[in-house]
Amino acid sequence: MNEMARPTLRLVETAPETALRAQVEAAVGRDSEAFRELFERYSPSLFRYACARLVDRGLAEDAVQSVFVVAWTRLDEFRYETDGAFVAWLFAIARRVMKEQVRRERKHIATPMDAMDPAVPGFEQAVLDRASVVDALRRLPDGQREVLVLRFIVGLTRTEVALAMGKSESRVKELQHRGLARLRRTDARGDLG
Amino acid sequence: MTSNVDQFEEVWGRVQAGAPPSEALAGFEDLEPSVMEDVAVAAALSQAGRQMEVPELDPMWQRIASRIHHPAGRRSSRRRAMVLLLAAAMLLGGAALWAAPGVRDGRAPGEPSAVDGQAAEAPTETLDRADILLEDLTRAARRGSGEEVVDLARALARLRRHALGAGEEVSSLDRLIRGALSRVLDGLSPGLVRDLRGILGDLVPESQPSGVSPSDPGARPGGGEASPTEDPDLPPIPTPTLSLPPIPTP
Repeated sequence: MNEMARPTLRLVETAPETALRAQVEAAVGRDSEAFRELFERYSPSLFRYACARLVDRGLAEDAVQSVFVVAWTRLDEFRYETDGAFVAWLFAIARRVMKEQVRRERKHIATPMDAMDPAVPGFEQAVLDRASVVDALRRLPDGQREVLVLRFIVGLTRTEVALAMGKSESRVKELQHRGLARLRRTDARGDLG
Repeated sequence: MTSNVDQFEEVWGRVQAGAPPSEALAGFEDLEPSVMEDVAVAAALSQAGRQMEVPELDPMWQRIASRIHHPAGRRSSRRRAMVLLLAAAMLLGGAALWAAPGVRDGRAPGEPSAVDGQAAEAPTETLDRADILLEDLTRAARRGSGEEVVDLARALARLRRHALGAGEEVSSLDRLIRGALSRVLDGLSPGLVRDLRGILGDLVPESQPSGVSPSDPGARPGGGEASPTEDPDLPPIPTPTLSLPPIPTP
């Protein structure tokens, strides 16, 4: 705990908003190449989100595909009003798709354990191991878990999380604070690591 | 005074930006231990995310491309043939009318002309998008997901409004919607059917006790066969496994 983290990069690809806006607007105009570029930019973070919600990688891949099929179908409903609006819109679709998948599977599964190396090197190792964190994450209330997954596993900003979840930033801040505190307390009781 | 939450955000922002530990903590000598622990938990989650192995994107894209363009491929040849036949019939009819004395200006209202003929058929794009929405709606109905069915019905209503606003002729779109809905309606609750009627009006057919016969003219534009994805024996979300070439730029 006394050491600080190694450099951590944001997981969602960032792009100059003007370039992104042009790409999104081209896709809205049914430019499939522009849409493919958006897929390449956002599918890794959507896949991480899907993995954190679903049973296995196959289901996660299916879910990501569904997200993009739905997005393509509904692109003309999207309005580029603020920075981060597109990623939030994509994740709002993803939340709906995952919700349906989870309901169908009747299983709430956090990150598939076989997708992870159980040992967490460096700073994090001093506190907890990753499998335990993800396992503890699974036991959080839905709202807290959703915020922590979107914010830290996926790498969205707090504003993007708020837009994707249809909640205010202050509510997201509160859910994040409670979720982290609960995971921290779980660790303090020795349930982690 | 800065709250713990704000301190967390500031430290986390620095960590995300790649700041080394000494810089990330600069100015936070009196940092609460709980904030440090929150940062550690967040870093562990972030690490978990980074280490998830993302699958190959290209095969995934091929499957998406097949789903968003396959309906066009599956249907467009039939539709193109229909349009060509219609065009040929119109040409022949037009030629006959033109040849007949006294009827050159006798075109009936709504009959396509060289000017308004383009609006006679809903564009393939609209029908294909409706096709995708209806496939999703069918799956949602089979799953019993009323919320999603309503959401998709609203999307269909928007699509139809846009088509009308763009001056498109929507009778084939309406037939497509009616045909698809008639196949799922019996499995829906009365409340959900009422909701659908509220959204789509008379595009929602009356429930039929024994389903729709394959010869139902409303089942498909042109009376074509149902697509494989509409077979009730198939799993809810079939994923094409064939590797298809990249989609062409329209």
